[in-house]
Amino acid sequence: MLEQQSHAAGRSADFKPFSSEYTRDPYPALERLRESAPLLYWDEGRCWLVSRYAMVVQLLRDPRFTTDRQAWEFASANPAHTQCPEFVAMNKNGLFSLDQAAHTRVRKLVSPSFTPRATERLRPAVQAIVDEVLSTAEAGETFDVARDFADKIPVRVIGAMLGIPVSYQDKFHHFADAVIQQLLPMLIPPGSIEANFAAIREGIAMIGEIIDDRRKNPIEGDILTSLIQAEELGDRLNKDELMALVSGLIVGGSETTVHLIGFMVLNLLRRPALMEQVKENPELMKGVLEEVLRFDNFGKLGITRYAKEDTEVEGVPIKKGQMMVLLLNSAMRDASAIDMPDAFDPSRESVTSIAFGNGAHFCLGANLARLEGQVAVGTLVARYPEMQLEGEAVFGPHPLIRKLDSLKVRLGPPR
Amino acid sequence: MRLVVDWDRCEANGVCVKAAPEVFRLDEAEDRLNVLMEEVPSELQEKVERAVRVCPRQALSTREK
Ligand code: HEM
Ligand code: SF4
Repeated sequence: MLEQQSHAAGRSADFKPFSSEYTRDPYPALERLRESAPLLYWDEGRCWLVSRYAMVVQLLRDPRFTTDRQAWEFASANPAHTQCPEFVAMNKNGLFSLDQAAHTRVRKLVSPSFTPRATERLRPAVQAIVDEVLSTAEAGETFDVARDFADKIPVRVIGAMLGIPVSYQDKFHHFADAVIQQLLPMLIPPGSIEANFAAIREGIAMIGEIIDDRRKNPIEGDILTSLIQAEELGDRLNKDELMALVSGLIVGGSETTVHLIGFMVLNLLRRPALMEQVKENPELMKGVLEEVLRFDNFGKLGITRYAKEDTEVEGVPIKKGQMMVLLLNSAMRDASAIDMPDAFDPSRESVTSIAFGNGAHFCLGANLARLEGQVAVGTLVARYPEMQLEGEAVFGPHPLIRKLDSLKVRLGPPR
Repeated sequence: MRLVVDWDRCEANGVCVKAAPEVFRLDEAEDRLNVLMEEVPSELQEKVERAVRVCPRQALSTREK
């Protein structure tokens, strides 16, 4: 490994995740990383890139590394400290950043609402949202799966789960997108930073309003009401944590699943034989969903961890405060961990998937995302069995996501 | 081998049940995990070790007695 690292400087410059070629298909570049430099310091990103499955999982389970971005060596250089301190404060208290005991305490307040069984109870509500989104779109001949469908569903599902009026939901998108861009702030173009902060400020103000309103008008059996009551009791959740938790649910709930839905439809349309199988056996959609996340992950890079102390990983010294970017997409194509990784096989066992992370910060909403993907794409395929791709999928620029700007289809006659 | 569950971590997602159904079961009514044995007989050790590895929340561990 040490030897590989000494060759790494040259290769570091070869990694170009912002090229359009990489967006369409990042896998050849990721394979080169796994083969030649599985632990590489990437100068441009000012972080380590970790591309093999075993090392990614090991780091996700390693208490020497934290999710808290305040631990990053360059954290104080983020203009958010001076220009958007309310965002810095909110991050500090979010589920995503909290470490150890505080994380466990806050997560336990919401996790019972996200178990497979609890999530399953939302199925009729999710189905109703999907049906409604589809019914408003049905008039046209061509249909944009990205804009007219995928984009509209997750935001409404998390909104419904938290009992937030539809009028707020448009703003969620804006806020969630801005927060997600802040996961790797060094990639935000300087000219866009002020707009990014403006969207975040507006989102934080909106969450404050939503909480104040629910405090005055509690709802029986409602998640948000129960969190507000926990905060009022004072010992399990403080005010800043409440704000940050609601924000985390909104951001987690309204962004990622959009891309999952788009990528599922794209992968099915590109595989007519599989599409036929799914129509005959709708249960297969579960495996398709898992396999889309594994085989054609919508993430460009991955998730981050920061070294809490000077340490080493497989003999390579890592300095306190350095950022590790764990390339989940690459890890799930690693032949040393996954059998025939380059074959799209919806019947494979999915327990080794790390698309939703692993360890303490494992995605809280994984079961909700799965439910949404199955219902949304399942309904679309069942209602429009003759749906066809129209032209090419169009990918837009995004620092972190292989974002489908448009995915045009001809729906054909409804069933 | 002794199985240890960190109940602060477990979120009843049932991934371990797939890996070792002899040892883990979901209690549907309570929506929580049931562990059917804490002392793991040697023939089930491999399955339990797999469950420890695949638990997405890192809630499981084993100890030698
Ligand atoms: C396809 C859809 C989704 C994917 C691929 C995804 C992926 C992930 C990943 C990889 C993590 C771990 C991050 C880390 O360890 O650094 C995570 C955390 C999280 N996700 Fe998701 N997610 C999805 C949907 C959702 C949904 C629908 C929600 C709704 C509530 C959600 C809420 C969260 C929250 C709150 C966390 C932080 C958990 C913690 O730190 O304890 N996610 N997600
Ligand atoms: S896999 Fe882990 S988190 Fe899931 S039910 Fe089993 S012990 Fe609990």
